[in-house]
Amino acid sequence: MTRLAWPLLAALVVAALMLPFGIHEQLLTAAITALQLIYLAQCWNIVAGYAGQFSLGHSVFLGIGAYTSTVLFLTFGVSPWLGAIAGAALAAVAGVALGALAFRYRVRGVFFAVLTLGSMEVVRGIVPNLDAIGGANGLFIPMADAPYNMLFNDRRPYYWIALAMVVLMAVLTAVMERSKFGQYLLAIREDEDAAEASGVNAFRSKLMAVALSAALTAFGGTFYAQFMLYIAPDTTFVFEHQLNMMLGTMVGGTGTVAGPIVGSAVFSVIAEALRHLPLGENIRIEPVSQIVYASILMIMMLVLPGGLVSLVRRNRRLSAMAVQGDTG
Amino acid sequence: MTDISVVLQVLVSGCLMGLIYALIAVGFTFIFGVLDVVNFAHGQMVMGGMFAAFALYVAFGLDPFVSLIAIAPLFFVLGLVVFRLLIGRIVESTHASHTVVTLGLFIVLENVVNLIYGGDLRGINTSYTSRSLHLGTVSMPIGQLAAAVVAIAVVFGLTLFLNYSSVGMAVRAAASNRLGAQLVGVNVRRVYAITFAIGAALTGIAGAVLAPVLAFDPFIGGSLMLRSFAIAIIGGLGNLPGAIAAALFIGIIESLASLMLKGSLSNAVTFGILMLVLLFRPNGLFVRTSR
Repeated sequence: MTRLAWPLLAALVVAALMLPFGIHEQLLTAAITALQLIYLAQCWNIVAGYAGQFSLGHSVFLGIGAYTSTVLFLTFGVSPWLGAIAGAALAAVAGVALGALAFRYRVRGVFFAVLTLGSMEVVRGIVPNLDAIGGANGLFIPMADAPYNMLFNDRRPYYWIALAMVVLMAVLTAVMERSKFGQYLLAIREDEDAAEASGVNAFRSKLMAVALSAALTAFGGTFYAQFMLYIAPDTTFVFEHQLNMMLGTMVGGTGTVAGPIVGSAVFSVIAEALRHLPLGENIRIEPVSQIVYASILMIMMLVLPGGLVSLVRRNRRLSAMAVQGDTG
Repeated sequence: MTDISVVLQVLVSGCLMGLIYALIAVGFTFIFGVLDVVNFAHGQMVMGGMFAAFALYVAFGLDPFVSLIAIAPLFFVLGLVVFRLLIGRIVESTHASHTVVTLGLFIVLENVVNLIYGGDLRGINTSYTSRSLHLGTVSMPIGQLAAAVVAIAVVFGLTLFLNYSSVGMAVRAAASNRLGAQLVGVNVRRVYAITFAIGAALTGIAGAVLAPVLAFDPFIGGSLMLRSFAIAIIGGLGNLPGAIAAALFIGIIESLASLMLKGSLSNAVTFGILMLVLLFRPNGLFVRTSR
């Protein structure tokens, strides 16, 4: 089984690379959106899944990434390829600042969740008043075919970029999981006091996890801006992105490499299927799909807290512990 | 410069708004204090109460202050059902699973109402909606005054219930020491179910009373919940008089902020205070002990 896993994975990646040549434009857009959801869920998974710090404010980091690269591009003509790095750095700084305060004052569990959610509301309240970065109206990126500026008329390059991000992120997560750092995080998640007692510097490890996750999320933000060509406070600093990260990760399996990929992919397929549902004139698809997603999430929490991957994983107790363990 | 009557008006408006927030926050802090469950769906349950009052008003022309007599028991029963199906299954689990499940409930409520009524802003226009009571230069909208009176009555009633009824004493016992309560024969699960149902009934009452006062849409619940959370923390978890004081505090701050700042910035002030309190005074502003 394990010997077959790597060739299988390689075949899957090759098939994924070839996919844009075989599908319709509309389906390609859905695939790009799906990859974007997967990537963001993977980023959130590092903090919430591995380190056990249930952030509800990751939309802030996405927004910082989107705004930094876009403002640099529109005002100074800096290529978003470089702007993405600046955004990641800024998001990491923001993450460290918030994390340092939170962990220094031992804000844990649901209090950490609400603290981060509050940070999103604060940023969302401030940004519409900053006219220099577009205020409430937001910023438009003019359409162009400029690969140097991460802008393409063809949709396929977006697909390959997103695919590369997902694959790299999966590799990074897998490496992290096996590293000393990853083991520290798991130890902290299971029992922070016990981890500290055995010599883990919980404060530093948690802070590093937040910084890493924030920076990576910001890359996703830059991609979001370049793909949508429009950002505004009401499309970036909103709970919707956070919710998608949560849905995918928790349904797939929190604190696992495959979890966010499986979960977000499942949700994307459901979303696409629901779009073709014959609902009649008067029923809007948006609320219906939200109800379906939330119901799946709640049912999963009640019957399979380890997520879908726990069905096939041998150490299913480990992944179940990510949500059932002592995070309060 | 701003003269004294403006300041007085701001203070009075802030107090009235604060009492309205208190009505919402009391149920939240009650559930939080007893079950140790942060009910992220709390604001959306209030929203449900608003739309229930709206439906009864549209269908039968019932004044929300009348229809709350029907809405409160209805929400009590709905609360029991939700506890049985969802909350009761995870109440022993971690904060993370509380968060996820109540967020799921939040989304379901929001979208069910959105599906039925659409996303437009609604309001209930009663005979007293646009009328105010005048005291000197200060004006107090009748609807807000009535809502404030209900808020005080509800908190008073809940305090009496907790202190003098046998069920109320069981609730307090379960809240302060779960195991001890079980040992002396309290059925803790039943206490939890009743607590959640009472909390739900309070959201129904709050929703009905607020429907003529606030314009509402299916998305109002998120900010109501965060305000409730801020009030619950500032007042001290499960501390009902503390919640009232905290609600007045938030109401006045918001009233001042909206006088001096643009709309979205005054929101940032409220949630900034929430963050500061979570960081520096997690046991509330009125408690001397630090953790």
